[in-house]
Amino acid sequence: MRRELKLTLGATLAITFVIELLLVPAILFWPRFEDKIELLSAMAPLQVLKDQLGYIEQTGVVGYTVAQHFFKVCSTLGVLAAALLSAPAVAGHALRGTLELCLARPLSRRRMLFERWLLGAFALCAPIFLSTATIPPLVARIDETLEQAPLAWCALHQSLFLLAIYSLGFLGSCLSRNPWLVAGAVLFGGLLQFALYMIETATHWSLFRLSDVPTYIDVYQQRALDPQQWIPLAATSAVALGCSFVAFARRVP
Amino acid sequence: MHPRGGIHARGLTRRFGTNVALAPVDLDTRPGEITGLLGPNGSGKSTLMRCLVGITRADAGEVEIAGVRLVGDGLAVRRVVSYAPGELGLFSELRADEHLSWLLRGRTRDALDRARSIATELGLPLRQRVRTFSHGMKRQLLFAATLAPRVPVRILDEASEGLDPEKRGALVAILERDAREGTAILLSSHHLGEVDRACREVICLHRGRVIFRGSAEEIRARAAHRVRVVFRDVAEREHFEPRARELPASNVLARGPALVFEFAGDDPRPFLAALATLPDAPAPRALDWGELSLEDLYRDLYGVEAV
Repeated sequence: MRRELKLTLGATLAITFVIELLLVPAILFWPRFEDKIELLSAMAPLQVLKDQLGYIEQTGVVGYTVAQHFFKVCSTLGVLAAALLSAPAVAGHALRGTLELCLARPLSRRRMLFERWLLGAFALCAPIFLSTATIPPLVARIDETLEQAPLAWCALHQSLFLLAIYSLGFLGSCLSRNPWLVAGAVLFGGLLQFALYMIETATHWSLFRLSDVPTYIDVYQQRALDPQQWIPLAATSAVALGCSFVAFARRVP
Repeated sequence: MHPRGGIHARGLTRRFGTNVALAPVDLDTRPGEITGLLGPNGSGKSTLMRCLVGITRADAGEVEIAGVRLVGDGLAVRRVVSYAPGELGLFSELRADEHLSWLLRGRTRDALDRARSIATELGLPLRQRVRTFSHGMKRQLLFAATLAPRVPVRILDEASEGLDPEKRGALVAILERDAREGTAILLSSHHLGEVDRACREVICLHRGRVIFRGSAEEIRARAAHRVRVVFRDVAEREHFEPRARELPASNVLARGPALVFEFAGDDPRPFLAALATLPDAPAPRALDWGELSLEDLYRDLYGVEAV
């Protein structure tokens, strides 16, 4: 367990550091961005981007912050993290030849798998909450104000979105012997969904509609999650985890 | 099933697609004894061991170990068994000490102390990272972790693979000591000398079936019923084989350049006399009788040379 905890802590700190590295300059850039928002909107090559800029123009620093932090950084980096955290969960052990040793210990498979899922989920979600907590003091440096509580709701929504992707990757890892294949499939799926989001006529097919700027603006303003969004996301995670238990119960090394 | 110690399996069956890994296998081992499991690669030894501890689910059959029935994912059984897999995949980034701790998760605290003690006895540097270990050292680390828990049954798959003869001897000595304390041990091995020395009973698997089960004494007794005649080469043996069937033997097995003759009694003289008087029989290069070792048994049963 100590090894797994160390790895989880390392991943958590590394992801938080990268998010923070991207977040700090993005927040500090807001005053200059605000000045040029009309010009940027006119230059935007895609209607979807124009729409995003429109939301930011209407809501100011709230729209800009959720766009930068949740839609841009956490969603894209989060998909990468979800792929890298989920893929090796079981398939990585199979590839290294350590799966049999894991299974030989007097621990139940259900417990083993749930621990793996939980540690990966923590490494995925904790950085979102940690980095989100730094937003209010950061925006204060540019003489703006954002509240912590609604941002935490946004972080929760973001976590549910990424957990669904992570859980699907986790299921893939339980079924596969090749973690690279699983990671590649999750990343390809993520890229495909993001590409769909950018196409005006196909954007409604994209999963990123559940994690885009208007979604986070709504969550921020309502100070609550939309049940039509969070329930399907949570259900996806639960079903994928349930299927993972079934797959792992019959898994041979 | 037997409500007592040791390992008891009935009708254990496992298929992988169309490949039969275990055709119904029955197995019984007793406390205080080391039972040897022999078989060539792909004979089903590892699958059998994995099925016994619930790592691989059997398609059919029942297992009871130290009075505990194998049900579900086998957790209850793994609490009374320590198992060393044949596949040696360790976490190279961990220190040996940390790795022992990882391997013994779910065991009592004193198991880790004993594992450290055994590892030290085997001369392993516990502060070094596993990546600096040789193959043999990794095998010994796993062995130390398997020997540490106080459990009534141990199952070791190729536990001495990659070890030099001296270390193999040390390992067998530790296993013998453990068995004397009442532990039932199932040991699969390619090193027949080790099995010969350590095991009271030997079970041979071939294509998922038990093809031989008996004590070392029985094996030696079988020696009296066999004569191996070695010819110059395979061609010479093949040329002679049809005529060899005329000799007074109940069975004739072709093994490389040799023919193995089995006869009913334990007096080889009628057979040897018939061989000597058979017209145009090629002169044997070697002739063995009464010296059947496990290695010979292995070769005779499987038609392959033992490691």
